[in-house]
Amino acid sequence: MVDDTIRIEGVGKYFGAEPNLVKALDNVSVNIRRNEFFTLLGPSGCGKTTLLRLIAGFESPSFGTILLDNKDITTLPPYQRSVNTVFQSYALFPHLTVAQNISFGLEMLNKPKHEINQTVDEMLALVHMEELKDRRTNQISGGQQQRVALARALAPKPDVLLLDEPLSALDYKLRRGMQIELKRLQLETGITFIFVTHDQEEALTMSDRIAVMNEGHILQVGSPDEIYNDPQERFVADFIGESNFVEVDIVGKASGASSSGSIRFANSKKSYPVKIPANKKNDKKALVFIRPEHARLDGKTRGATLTGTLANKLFFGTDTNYHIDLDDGSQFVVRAQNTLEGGFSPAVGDKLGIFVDENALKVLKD
Amino acid sequence: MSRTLSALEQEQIRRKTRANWLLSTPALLLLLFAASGPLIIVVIYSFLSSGNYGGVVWEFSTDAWFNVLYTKDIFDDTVSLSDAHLSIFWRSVQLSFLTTVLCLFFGFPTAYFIATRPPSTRNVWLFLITIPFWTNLLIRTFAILELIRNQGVINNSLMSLGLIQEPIRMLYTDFAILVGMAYVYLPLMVLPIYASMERFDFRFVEAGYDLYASRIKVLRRIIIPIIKPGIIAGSILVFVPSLGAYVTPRVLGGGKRLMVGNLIELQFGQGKNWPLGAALAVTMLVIVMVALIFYVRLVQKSERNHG
Repeated sequence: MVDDTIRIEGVGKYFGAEPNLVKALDNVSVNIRRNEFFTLLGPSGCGKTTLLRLIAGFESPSFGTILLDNKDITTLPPYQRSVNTVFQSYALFPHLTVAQNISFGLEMLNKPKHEINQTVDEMLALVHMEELKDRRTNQISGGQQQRVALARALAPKPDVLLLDEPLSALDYKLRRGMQIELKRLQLETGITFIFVTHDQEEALTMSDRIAVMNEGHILQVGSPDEIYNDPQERFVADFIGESNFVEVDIVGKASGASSSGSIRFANSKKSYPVKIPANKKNDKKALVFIRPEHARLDGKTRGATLTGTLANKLFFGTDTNYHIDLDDGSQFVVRAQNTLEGGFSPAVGDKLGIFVDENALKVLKD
Repeated sequence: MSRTLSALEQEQIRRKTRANWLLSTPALLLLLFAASGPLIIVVIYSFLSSGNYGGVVWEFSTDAWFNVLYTKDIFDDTVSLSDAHLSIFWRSVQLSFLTTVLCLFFGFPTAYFIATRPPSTRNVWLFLITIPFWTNLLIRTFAILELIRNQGVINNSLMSLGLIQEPIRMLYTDFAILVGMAYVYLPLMVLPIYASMERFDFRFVEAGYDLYASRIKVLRRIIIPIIKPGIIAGSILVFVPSLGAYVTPRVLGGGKRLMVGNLIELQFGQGKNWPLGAALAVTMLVIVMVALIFYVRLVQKSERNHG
């Protein structure tokens, strides 16, 4: 049996009443494992922060149950949950010093004085803030405030640490540094981290598992690899990384429970064996999704999966994105790694063939 | 700063300073004439002799200052501490302190309530708080008198309900003065606390709950320390005018329960002892200053202890 720290069972949160009812979260169920770095990923307004606030106890769900270590905590106030939060705004207490901020939770738990001092010193060392422990929180930089917020939330050694877009206020360099730092802290403390972000790159690099959310629902839960390479729905594929979507004909289906079938692109004779999702078994058409880096460009068009003309080239340093106008008028992006040798370099206006292997084709549920 | 300012920069700073001084000139002039002027006159008067029919005689004397604390028996010239003056000063300080406590007790929850309303309705509540200012203080004080006198609204209703057999004496007591002053000065407590509370980031409260602080602990350890400037400002705004209150103790305390304001008025009026009135006024000023210094010290000390 998998060891779950948090179990969310059929939880929903509605705000207001008809006709202005807002379903911030609608019947969400998800289990979060012990010592896992779990990310809630989605655009703003998808319900990820609401879910986090329900776990913290700042809001009560309209329905459903939240369990922490198999105990129902749905109606417990925040101060009775072994859950701490790193706020997006940090919310460091302005009237206290760095060290006093970190000791606050421990004092509220009535820990003995020597234990508090020891833990505060440990936490200051953990986030490299020993030198600044007597500073006021408005006398330190944003990155330092971030680290104090982390230390303050980690000091009481909660079962679960909630992080509400904690890196969004930092600049790019600092953010990359903190991503590595956060991952290190999670491994060192062994605490379950639930991380909320709208930054898909952040989610992919840091998480053990990701839940992609939209409009109050969890669409897919999986490892970064699963989410990136095997999205089940168009929204997930579109939200994470760059994607191409092409409409295809379903030409062959195995009967019964088997999911294998085959598809064919328009104006093409070649058929590709692929997996067909259960809900598409009886359809004639489907949407196929292809990552830009999984397609290959060539000057020859014979035998190509798709053909088109090069409309634009965008240089990204490591890669170049080729924007191609397909023959049916739609757009397609191919990403190719740049090499010192140069290699194949088409010019704008060239007629090109796009080659895609069958294992790079994913038929989406919708 | 190691860099020296260029001539142009110095000229710009000078020009800016001059412009700022110019803008504040009207207020400074007003203060000089309306506040410092009379104050200087009062201090000078307190060292002069009193005229027979009021006013002062330009003759140096410390009698007035002597009379603030001591009385000389008219028959045998024995000197004793002036019980009347001391008890009036003591009552004034006590009542002003209690008024401040009472205003804090009622004002803090009110300010908290207003600050936690949605922004659109906050102005309505603030507007309601200022309504008492629309009516003259004297009229409001007489309204309270009408409520609490022996044949007043409260006593009459209680008697007609049979809850009491004879009226409860409320008028002309310290209680009446306290109620009147707390009512009059309550907005002066609510407004500064509200101003602090409005800027207060209520995410600190969530952070407190998150870190295992109960409601009471959040109030004591987070909200009160952060909005302390508002509490200090409100307390000063209530305490200082309470100490000098004149109308409220006059109307609700009758002629018997005097406060310093009434005592001073007495010297300039019926008493015809202007230098004594002036000396009493300066004494009150000193009490206010000492009280404020003491209060600020106390606050700073608690700040050091709690961080």
